[in-house]
Amino acid sequence: MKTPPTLRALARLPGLSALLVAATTLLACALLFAAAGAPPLDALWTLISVPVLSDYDRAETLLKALPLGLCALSVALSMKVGLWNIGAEGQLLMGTFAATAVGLFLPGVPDALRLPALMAAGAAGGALWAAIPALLRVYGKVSEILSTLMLNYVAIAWIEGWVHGPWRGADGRPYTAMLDASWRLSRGFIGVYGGLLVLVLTALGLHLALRHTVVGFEIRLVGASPRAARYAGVPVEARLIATLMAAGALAGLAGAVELSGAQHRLAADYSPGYGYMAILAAFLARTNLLGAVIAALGLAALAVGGGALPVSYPGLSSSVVDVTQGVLLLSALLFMTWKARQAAAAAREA
Amino acid sequence: MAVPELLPILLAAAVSAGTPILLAGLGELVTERAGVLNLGVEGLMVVGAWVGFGAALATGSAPAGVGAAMLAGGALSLVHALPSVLLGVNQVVSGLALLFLGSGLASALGTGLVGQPGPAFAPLPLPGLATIPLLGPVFFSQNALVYAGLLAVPLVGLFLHRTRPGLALAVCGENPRLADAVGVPLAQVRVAATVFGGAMAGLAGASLSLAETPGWVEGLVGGRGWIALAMVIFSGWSPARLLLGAWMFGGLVALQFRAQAFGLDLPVSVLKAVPYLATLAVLVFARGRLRHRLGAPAALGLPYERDARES
Repeated sequence: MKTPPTLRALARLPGLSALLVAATTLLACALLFAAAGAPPLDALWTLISVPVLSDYDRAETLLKALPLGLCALSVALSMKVGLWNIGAEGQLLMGTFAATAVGLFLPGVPDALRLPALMAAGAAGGALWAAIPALLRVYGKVSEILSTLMLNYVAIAWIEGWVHGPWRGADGRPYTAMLDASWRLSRGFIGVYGGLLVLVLTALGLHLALRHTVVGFEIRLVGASPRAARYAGVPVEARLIATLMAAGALAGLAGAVELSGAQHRLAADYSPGYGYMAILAAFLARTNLLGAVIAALGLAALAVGGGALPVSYPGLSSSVVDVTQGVLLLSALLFMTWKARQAAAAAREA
Repeated sequence: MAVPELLPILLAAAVSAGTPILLAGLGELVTERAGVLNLGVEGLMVVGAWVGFGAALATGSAPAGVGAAMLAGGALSLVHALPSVLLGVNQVVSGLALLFLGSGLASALGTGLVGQPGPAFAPLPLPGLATIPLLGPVFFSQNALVYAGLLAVPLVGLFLHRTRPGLALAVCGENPRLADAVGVPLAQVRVAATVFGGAMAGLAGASLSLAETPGWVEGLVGGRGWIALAMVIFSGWSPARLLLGAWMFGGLVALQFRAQAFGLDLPVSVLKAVPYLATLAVLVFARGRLRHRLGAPAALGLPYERDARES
């Protein structure tokens, strides 16, 4: 499809596609609100303003942004090495499982070590769960898209098994006992903004490691061209496995954070879907690590805003957030692809 | 009840419970054979369930609901089909977008339908055939949608292997450059295959809200779309093996509720994990010639560009 020169020139304007994507998404939201019988502009304003206006909602947004951001880093990191980590959801769950085991059943952990132990367990759980698809991919040539997807559901079944069985709560409810206070992350100012700081520092650290270390360079090389990397002597298999496991660790850590900072116990319907939203965030950021954190913040705000909608507008359910994410993803995808094709066409003609 | 009496009930339940998977799976099988990967099947099933139930409620007719569901599924799948085939967008991401869109739409707009009783497909025992011992209750005393699913298996198989359009479709998935070179309208075939998949997914969703688990609630589809996707892979893209996979899944669902009667003390969660573990096993162990027979269409998920250089 040939595009007229004016449109092509417009496409090169920085920020224009971001604006168009945002505009399309807001329009779709407004239409959806109208279809569900709520006043579109009012509802739109509620959606956008709630996450930032009150202290409580700001804290809620940041509380969501931390695990979501970690998952987004997980997905973005795997993309650096050329792997799609659709399994962040499962890795988050298995990290939570490991963290719950430590928090509820590990005896004699001194108070000062409790939070680090929880986080370490989460990271380990996620990393081990990610090792499975990593090994399957490297030695079995199994697509990691499919294997991580399947393992997500195995993880859900695993959690259900424990939570309905040996870890069942009092009167048979499908959730474990609560973690007591010494295992919990603070929800006060320091806890919440501290979490944000940790997220940004992690992203920065990963970014710098990828740019300025030999291993980081090797990882990016494997992502760009495994064949070239192998020719250059890079241990491709080791880098693939290590990176996917690191991504799993990040997602598992997200699970531990969610456990310790928000839910405080493992339940049958534990996951808020961060693993899948993270794919959206990583994609919007075009796998840029710091961008992924920003996108995660935006999506967290969207989730909080969406959660506030049913309160004021009974006809709306918070699933408008899902639709918004779908439209956002689709329009971002369309614009990005269109820009890429324009760039490729221009390069061919040059 | 003793085991011999329980067996036909269990098998009948397995066939019935497997129908949504079978219908959605057959649709996705055709889509993937044409080379398009549609991860949005779950979202399409949710939309089908919601539209099907809503339309049936509004018109008082379950078949009308089915028609509406198929239309909705087919139409919504264009959201994935057109960008993927015409623009070459990444099919994984596009499918996920469809997933978010479909589930979100149905959820957001379906709140008024929750808990309402609506028309459903009643069991339709086939005269004469229904009285055959064992086979009768299992295969011939089901509802119309189950029969549709069973019929669709040989129809899809015959289409893919014995008709010209079907073979052309298969070439689109295996070697799109060849298909294009011999004049097969690649883009149209791929879009049509995806729309077919969407309509079947819509039908599968309707089979849930209008037959298997009548009514509309959040979480009705509950991951069955993902299982259908897994079963397509597990089946090696063969309709007959897909039928076996659907029955396996249906059997697991039926067992979940009746395990105690069989003296099985397996936790439900183990049964839930089996379809996914089975698919993983197939992915791992399909090697060499077996991989060729059980393997994916070579060009699955890859956009086709006529002017692109071979890399």
